[in-house]
Amino acid sequence: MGEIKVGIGDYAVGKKAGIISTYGLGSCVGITLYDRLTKVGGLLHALLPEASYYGNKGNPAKYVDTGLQLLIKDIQKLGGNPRRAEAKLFGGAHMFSNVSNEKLMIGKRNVEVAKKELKRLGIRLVAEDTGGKGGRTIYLDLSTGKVRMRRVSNGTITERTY
Amino acid sequence: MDSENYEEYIKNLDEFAKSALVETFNIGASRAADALSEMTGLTVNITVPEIEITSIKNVPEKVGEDVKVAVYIGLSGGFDGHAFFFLDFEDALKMFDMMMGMPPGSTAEFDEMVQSAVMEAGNILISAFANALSEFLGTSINQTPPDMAVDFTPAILDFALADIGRHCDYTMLLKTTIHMEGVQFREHFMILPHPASMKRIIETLLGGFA
Repeated sequence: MGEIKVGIGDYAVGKKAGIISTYGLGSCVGITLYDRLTKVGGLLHALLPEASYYGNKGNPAKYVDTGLQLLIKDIQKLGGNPRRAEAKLFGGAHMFSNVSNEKLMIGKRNVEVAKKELKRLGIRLVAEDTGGKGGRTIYLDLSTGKVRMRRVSNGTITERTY
Repeated sequence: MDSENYEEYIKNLDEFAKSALVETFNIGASRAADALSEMTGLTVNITVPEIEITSIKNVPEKVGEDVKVAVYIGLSGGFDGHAFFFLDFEDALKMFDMMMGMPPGSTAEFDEMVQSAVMEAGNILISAFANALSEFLGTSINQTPPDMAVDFTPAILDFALADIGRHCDYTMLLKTTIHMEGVQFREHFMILPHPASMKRIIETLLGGFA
């Protein structure tokens, strides 16, 4: 099984084998869901927090809340149970200190809304690496549910598994 | 005009409108080159051969995931958007050497001196670009102070894409080539304008024929 790359405002699901990845999360959030029993999992790369706040415009997968709904629907189609799923949350960085306009400080709101939505949906958040200044790239392993994360700090790439 | 219309407008830009944008960005790029040339005493050429309209979804794939250095300045007022100047490490070191009058390849470490020179070059380039745009549009453009990040390219662009993404699922990517004393650099100028500002440029240039 190969690697499925998820773009911005995009999501993908899979079962039992393979990797789902997304590159360069900055203020965006990456949310992975994984049901250990059926080995069904998925990844959402969301750009903006709530769809309703922006008038539900455009691609629904670019918002945390409507994107999660799409991801859950596809996980159910593959036989996964979202209530059994474990969620992991990454991203929500704030890259530039000269950006102080509230509407551009989107990372923090993305993280807040992701947590609120997961709670509302009754999905457990088991790991998180969010905030700070640096970008993140994540890889969900569909055989284990583990998420490998690469991140840049002081110009070099470091790696961690959640 | 509401955001739904921007979506269609940007997605369906014709070749004529695109060439109007390319023309405008070339004016800015040439002024940016002059400013850097004045500062360094070197011959600098910057051209914008083309722009590409792409879905925000595909931006990571288009720009690649390499770790790069970026100088960022936010633009507002008469032109709303985000300006970035990207270099990879190798080019940042090479540019530093040339700016300091040393043979390219002299400096090996991306230290504070190099960072400060890159910040200055980025600041001068983007400011000159914005000033040219401001004259062309006959309006004033506010600039934030410059800031720098070293990170995955899509991660650096993310918050700007989020800002554009509030209005539209498509954005513009600029292709640029930079030559200093005949040496070519692979870095990119990235200007991510708000859809309304893109429209404004096109309408200004085409003077009602748009």
